[in-house]
Formats: sequence, C-alpha cells, structure tokens
Amino acid sequence: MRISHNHEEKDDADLQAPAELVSALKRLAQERPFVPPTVDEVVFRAAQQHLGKVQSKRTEDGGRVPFIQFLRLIPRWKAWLAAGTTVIAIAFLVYQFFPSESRRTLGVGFRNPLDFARGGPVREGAASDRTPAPMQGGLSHERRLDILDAFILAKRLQGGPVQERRWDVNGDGVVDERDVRAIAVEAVRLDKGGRS
Amino acid sequence: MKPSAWTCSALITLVPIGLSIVLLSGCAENRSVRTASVAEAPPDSAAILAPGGWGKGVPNSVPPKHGMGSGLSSRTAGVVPVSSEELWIIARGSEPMIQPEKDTPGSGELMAEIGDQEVPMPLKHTDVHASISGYIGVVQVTQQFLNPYSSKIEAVYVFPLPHNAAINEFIMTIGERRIRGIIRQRQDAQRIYQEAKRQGYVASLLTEELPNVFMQSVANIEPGKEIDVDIRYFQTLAFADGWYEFVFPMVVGPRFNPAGMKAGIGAVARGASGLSGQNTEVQYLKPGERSTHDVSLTVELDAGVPIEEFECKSHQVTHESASPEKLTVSLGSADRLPNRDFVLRYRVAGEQIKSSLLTSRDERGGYFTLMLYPPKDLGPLERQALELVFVLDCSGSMSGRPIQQAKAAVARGLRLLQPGDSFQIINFSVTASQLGPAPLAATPENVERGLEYLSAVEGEGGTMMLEGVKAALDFPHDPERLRFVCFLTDGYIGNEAEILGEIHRRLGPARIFSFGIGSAVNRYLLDHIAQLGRGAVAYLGPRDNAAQIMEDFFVRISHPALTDLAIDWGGLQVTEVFPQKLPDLFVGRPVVVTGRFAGSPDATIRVSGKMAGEMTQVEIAAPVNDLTSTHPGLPSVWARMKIAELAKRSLYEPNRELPEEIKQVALDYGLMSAFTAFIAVDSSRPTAGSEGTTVPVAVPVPEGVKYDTTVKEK
Amino acid sequence: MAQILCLAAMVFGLAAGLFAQSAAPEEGRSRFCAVDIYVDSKATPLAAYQLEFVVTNGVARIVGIEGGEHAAFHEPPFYDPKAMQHERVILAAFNTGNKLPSGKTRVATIHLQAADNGPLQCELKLQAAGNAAGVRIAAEASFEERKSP
Repeated sequence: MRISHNHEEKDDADLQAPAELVSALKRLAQERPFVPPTVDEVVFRAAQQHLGKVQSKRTEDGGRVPFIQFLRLIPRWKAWLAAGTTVIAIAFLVYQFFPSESRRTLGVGFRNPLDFARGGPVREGAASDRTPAPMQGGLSHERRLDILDAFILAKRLQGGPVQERRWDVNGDGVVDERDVRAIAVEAVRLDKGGRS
Repeated sequence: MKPSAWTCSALITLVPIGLSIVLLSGCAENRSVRTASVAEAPPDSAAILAPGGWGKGVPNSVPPKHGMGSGLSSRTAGVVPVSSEELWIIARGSEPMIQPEKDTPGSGELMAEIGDQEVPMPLKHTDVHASISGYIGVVQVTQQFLNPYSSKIEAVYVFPLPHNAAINEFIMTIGERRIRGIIRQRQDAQRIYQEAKRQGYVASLLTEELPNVFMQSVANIEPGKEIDVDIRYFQTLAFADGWYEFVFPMVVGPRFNPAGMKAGIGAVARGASGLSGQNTEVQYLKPGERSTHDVSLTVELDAGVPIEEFECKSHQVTHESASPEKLTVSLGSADRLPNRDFVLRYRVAGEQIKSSLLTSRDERGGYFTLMLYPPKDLGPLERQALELVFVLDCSGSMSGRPIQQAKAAVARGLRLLQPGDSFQIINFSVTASQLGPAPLAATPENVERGLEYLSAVEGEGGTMMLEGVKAALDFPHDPERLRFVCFLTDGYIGNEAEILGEIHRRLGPARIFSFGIGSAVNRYLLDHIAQLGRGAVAYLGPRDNAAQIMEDFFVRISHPALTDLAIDWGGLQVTEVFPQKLPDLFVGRPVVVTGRFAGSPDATIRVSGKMAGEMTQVEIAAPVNDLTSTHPGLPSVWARMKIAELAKRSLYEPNRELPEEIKQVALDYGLMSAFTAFIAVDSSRPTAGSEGTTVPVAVPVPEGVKYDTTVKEK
Repeated sequence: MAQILCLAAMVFGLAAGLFAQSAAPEEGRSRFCAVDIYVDSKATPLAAYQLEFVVTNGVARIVGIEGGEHAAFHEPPFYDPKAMQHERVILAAFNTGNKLPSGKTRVATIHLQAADNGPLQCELKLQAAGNAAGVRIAAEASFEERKSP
C-alpha cells in the first residue's frame, strides 16, 4: 500500500475510484459527527483512569496497585531500558569497590578510595626474636617483614654463613644476599597478598 | 508529549552515569593512575600495537611532529621474547680481531673532526658491566653525558640494547647525587619530561622506540656539567651446541623504511634532522668523521662449572680467571669504538649437557625457566626431501661485502642439495624477482642455472622485504617436500611488524631460517623471523666464511626435529608458560621455556613429540629438587617474555586489550616496554636560562655498512 | 517519581564522589618540588629506616627518588615500583657499615611534580628505625619541602 504524505495533492492523482465514492469520502472527512457530551465524558474519564494507572500506583479507589500489575502496565521497551540502566549502574558501583588487583585485566587503574582506609601493618617483637616466615606459601600473619629483618640478616651474613632455614625466605635452600634483598623488597611492598 | 515516568527515570539514571564516564575520561588524563587508552594504539593494517612515535624526531629544537598526548603513531610494540633461547643459532657472526685505528683525530677531546670543523658531542662515554650467573646476565649500562658548549643543551641518544633485555632500573646521577627514576606510562612520562624541560629542571627520559632500539633524552645539561644515566637490565643468554653467547649491541644500523611509513627509524647524516620523515632518527657520522664517544665493557662470568673455552672475535679483549668456574673479560683499551656488536662466547665443561631448571620465588609466587635439550635419538635419522627457497636481500645496505657473502652462502647451499630436493632463488630490493616461475629440481643443470643467476645479483635500492616474503611463501607448496626458506639479509628495515605479521599469515607448513649478514644486524627482526618461522638463525660477520656457515646449516637440517612438543610438568602447577607454542626441538639446540609455578616440583618432567612422524616421549631428569638453581632476575625475565608474547600476538591477532595488558605487566614489574618509560627529574633546583638546544648524538655507521647507500644527506 | 529521583540522586552523588579526586598536574600549570625526608635518631647512630610517604591531596606525582646526604644512605632507597602509580610509597634502606649518621639526617628526597594551584599535602609515617645491632630505636621522621634557591 502506497502511503502519501500529501493527501490533497495525491488523492486526485492516485484514486481510481468512481467519482461518486470520492465525493462521498470527502464529505465524510469534512463532516464532524455529533458526540453526545455524556459519551465524551465517559471516554475522557476512561482515558484518564488508564493513564493514571500507568503513572501512579493508586487505583480508582485510592488503594495501591499491586506491583506485578503495575509492572504489566509498563511499556516493554521502557522496562528493558530501565533494567539495563540499573544493571549498568550496579556493575559500575561494584567495579569501583572491587580490589584494584582484580581489576587489572580490565585495564583500569582507578585509585580505590578504600586504599587509604586500609591500616598499616602491626609491628611486634624485638629484633632478636625476629623469625621471618618463608615467603613461599604466603607470609606469616603474625608479623610482617620490615627493613630491620633485612638489615639483621645482612649483618649476620657479614659474619659468615647463616644456617637457620627460617631465613631462607625465597626458598632456594641457601641463605644469602638474595634473601636480604627479598626481605627488603617485601618490606616496601605496598599491597600485601597481591599477585601480578 | 509528556514523557512517561519510566522514560524520566531512565534518563535520570543514564545521564549521571554518562556524565561520570565523561568525567572519568577527562580526568583520566590528569590522574596519577591512567586508564587504558585504546586511542594510544591506533589500529592499522599491520599491527594493533602502536607504541612509538614520540614524535620527537631528532633535534635542533624541531618540535615534536605529533606533539604530546596526540596518540601514538603506528608502529608495533613487537616485543618478542627471548628468542635466542628458542632459536637454533647456527652461527653467530665472528670477526677476526680488529686492529684499532691509531690515527683517529681528536682523541681525548669531546669533539668530532669534520675537515676543519670540530663538532662537540654530548655523549662522552658508555660503560657496560655484565654479571653472568648460569645463563642469566645482569647488565649495568652507564651513559656519561657531558655538555661541552657554553649554553645549556638537551642530549638525545638513540641506541640499541638486546631485544630480550628486561630493563628494570634507571638512575640519574648529578654530581654526587643519585636520583632513581620512576617507571610510568609512556605518555605520562613524556609529559612530565617536557614540562620539566620547559621549566628548566634537569630531567632524563628513557623510551623504547623498537624492542631493540631505545632513546635516552637528558634535558637542561648545564655548560661543563656531566649527567650520568645508569640503566640495568636482565637478559638470558643464547645457548646452542655447547656454547653460551653474550651479545651487547653498540650501534643501530641504518634502517630502510617503506614509503608512507613514519614510525620507523630514520637514518640521516649528522645535522640533517627531519630528512627521513621518520619520528625517530639516528644521525650518522660521515666516513672519516669520528667522535670520541667510546665504550668500556667488562663481563664477569660465574658459570658454576668449569669454563673450558671462550672466544671474542668481535673485539680485542683482556681476561683473567679467579677460578676455573669464573672468568672476567674486558674490552681492550685500544678497541673501544662503538661501531659493532660485542659478542662473547664460552663453553662449559661436560659433554653430557643436561636439561636444567632455574627457579625463583617471591611474594608474588614462583617463576621458572626450563632449558630442554634434545635427546640423542634424533641423531641417526635422515631428513626428508627439501624444497629450498633462498631469499636474498639485494638492497643498498647489502652492497659490497654483505652481498658477496650472501651469494657465496647460497652458492654453497645449491651445491649441497641432494637428489630429490628442489630449489628456488628470489632476490628483493625495491621489488622481488626470482629464478623461475616454480622451484627447479636439484639437477646439475639446474644448479648451474641457479649459480649463473646468482652471479648477476648486486646490492642497490631500497629494502622491500615484504615483497620477498610474499614471493617466498605464496607459491604452491609441494607436499612431497619440506619447504625451507632461507632469508639472507642485514635486517635494516623499519617495518618489522608488517614483515612478521605477513610471515605469520603466510607461513603454512614451511620453515624459515634467517641469516643475518653484517657487523650490526637487526637481531630482533632476524630472531623473530626464525622464531615465527619455526626455524633457526645464523649470523655472519663481514669476515666469516659464509660457505662454512651454510654447510653447518645443512648438517643441522639433515636430522629431523622433535615436533609438536608437549610437556608433562608432573607435580609443578604451571601457568602462563612462554612461549605459548613450543618450538621444534632440533639436535644441538635447546628449547627454553619460562613460566610461573606453584606447588611442589616433581622429580621428572616428561616431554612428548613427533619424531619422523611417530609419537615419542622423553623423560627429562631435571634437577627440580635441587632448589639451589635459582636466580632473582627470573621474575623480570618472565615478565619480559610475557610482554614479548603479548606484543607478538598483536601482530596477527588484533586485540585492543593487548596494549593495556602489556602496560600493566610492565608497570607491575617495573619494566620498560613500548607503553612505559622511565622518568627522573631533579626538582631541587631549576637551571638558569632557556631550554637550550637539542643535540643528537651522532654515531658511526656500523662497520662494513656503506654510508653512501644507507644514510640520507641534504 | 520522588523515589526515583532520590535513587538517581544517590547514584549520581556516589559516582561523583568516587570521581571527585583532584586532577594531577597538567602542562603549564604545575611546579616541581623536592621534599626532603629526615629521620632524627637523636644520639643513636641510625642503621636502618623504613617509612611511608603519601601525597594526600592528590595534586602531586613522584618523579624521582634520591638518596640521603650521609654516605650510609647515599644510594636511593628500596621502594615498590607499583606503589609509585598511587603516589604512595614505602621507602627503606639500611647500612651495615660502621659510619652511621646520628641526629637529624636527611635520608631521602622525593622529587615531585605538583599542581600549581595548591599547597602540597603529604603524610609521613616512620614504620621502623634501627641501630647498628638491629634493635628498634625511637626516632622521629619529618619532611620539608625544599625551597628553590
């Protein structure tokens, strides 16, 4: 069916109906049928009610429309748009609070506001009691290594080989300057437990 | 029409999110932690990674061609892994000791003599100190910049480093003060540097232009003042046929860049900046010109086992041994001109070379490097019939000795062909041409035809290697023969990414062997061609016996390889193993694999593969329980290999996430990459005066390379 | 309708708050400054230190780390490269030699690029200080922006 945008121009050219029919149709378009006021009012109120149900949860009697029924009144495309927007918003918020290390592959390096909320390590113990835990398998949760551990090991190595295996923090079977460096690197590491 | 409630709510929710995203994008440029910026890598047909293009060009206050923050030009990151360990290196390129020139002018002064004109150079000296333990080296490079002018200058120096170097430390020394540089995203580092330079602060910036070419910029060097820059890197050494090899490249060879390319490395005469149209340029001294920039180099070797033999045919050296396992080699005082690669080879005791495993653990977990040696069983088996395709680079840079060597090698190869083999000869410069429309059977008559065709080949014109690649790989493959393609070239091109991408796309069942000819060849390209082509690489110095090297090649390919390798790691829980695709295992050449591990290592690692068409399993009794085999540099080496693998993938697997992944790995491990850079600023005191003149460091043309056919002049 | 507006306002406010971080220095509107880090070990020779330095108002970036004035701490200290990306860093160094500083000593200098439009706000926390025997000692850490000559 061909749709014309300019009925006045196209009508005469396109219609091939009998002239009497054309005239009758034109008269019909020009005439305005009489609609009784009561009918008009009924129609108007019904339309208001319909629109009112969509825009509010209140029913005709002032009660609340059940949520399920309310949802059914929503045009489908609007519902999908709202749902998608909500999902995006939630994902975005979750993403913001996710640990930075886990976001690495997504390639976004936002500074997590929670970073500054994390407390620093607790230092305990005298130097002579220092017993660095082996680094393989994770650090001891009792105490974190700091630079004094590296220093003590370095001093001890100056005096000769160190046999205590607890100082073999890199697990290579030997206690040497590599362990010193490993302790120092661990001491200055900012994020504990992260993996690259 | 009045919008519905849901429309309003959707808009109200979308708008703040949209604004947030816009804010984020806008703020990202100003943050200390940058987001991924896909715009940094404008895609092109050759590579998705586009790291280079700082746009500085070189000097004389020529403003950067692209300006800061304008995005990166199209050039690949191409940071391919420690290829030498995975490659079968047939020959290394040896030269007899070079007699030092005794009549060099200007010695003792920071000057270059050009006829009656003396031109000062801002790079006084480079000191290299390498410490090798096992097969991992830690190398410290100190560049001493000195301003001989009466006003401030910015020194810019384009120089090479091994393409598998994992650079993780950068220190700027001003007088007695040492300032450690910070690894940052490349664009951030560049902006910081430019701003520091503008405000008069002494600053240093190190960027990667290509995987084996770097640019060092030092701003606001005051008259008479010296600024030292220390760079430290880890690297693994190549090993084959019982010999380890340490290479320190000293000069970037002049590259040919195809028309339309701007992301290459331009080769221009001293003072002729901007002539090449490339974003990065190397200025070369003319024949007869000399600067007094010299190099000192010391290698301290602790092999752990007795060192039986060593050789350095590229330079005069002195040596001393504190014990049978240790060796110290130093450059002779009279042989310090940086115009060719330094190559040190050494052999350790023990005929029965065993597979070895190096490990390292830190707070991030375990890292390993496994060196696998082929079993002896491969030896007696004979090879299949071959279809040999010789591809000669006949460009201008090959003119003279290099093309003569290439022709001699091919001629020897033709004579070594066996009945049943076939061959083709292709030569390329600006275009490619070939002996015939199809490979010829290796009959005596055809071999004579080939020799005659070869004799007419000369070196001239540009280096359109792409044409050679297409010609070598595009014609139909003979299923009855193994196609071996032999590339003979100096590798002096700027479009490595394009070449490697084409090889990956067109390789098929062929194998590619690359022969690097010259004193300072593009090892990055040649190693990668061989790696991608599942072949091997050989290096021929100007005075090497090319025929002998070709004979060695034929001996090696006479035995089949163990193909389709698979490794059963036993108790080791391995992840992120590189290379992801294991190369073939040839006789005399190990395969080196690196990765991460967790758990307890088992006693046996099992390797399976196909040998002459049949599945075979080999047990490698690696000393996995002997945890004394460690090295602290392994994490950096692993990270560098991961970066290289990601960059290699970008050549043929367009993926916009790869640049960001590379950047993150580089930042996590504090490594240089195409997307990161080192920056150091002395913000304690601004220097007086304007920014000063930018002075590029002009370098000598590599020995054996003709200046006239490779360097652009005004 | 009101409920939806409130929800949207919460989302927007939260998102805006998350992104309400000061812009890092931009070209033409930044300055470079050096912050000297001091450790005062009083009369006890200082052999090792570890401290945490943070730029708290997000207007500066670390562009270099320099060693201290005394030979014992002349080399740039240990630091975590990853931490640099967050302008928060732990610095540490030690010396096993006999010639150690005492009193107030500049142990390191942090070079910064800061935005031009505001004061630098930093925090410094001394995490450990030790004497030649490796025993933890009481010490005070302080910092001072170096004045340009």
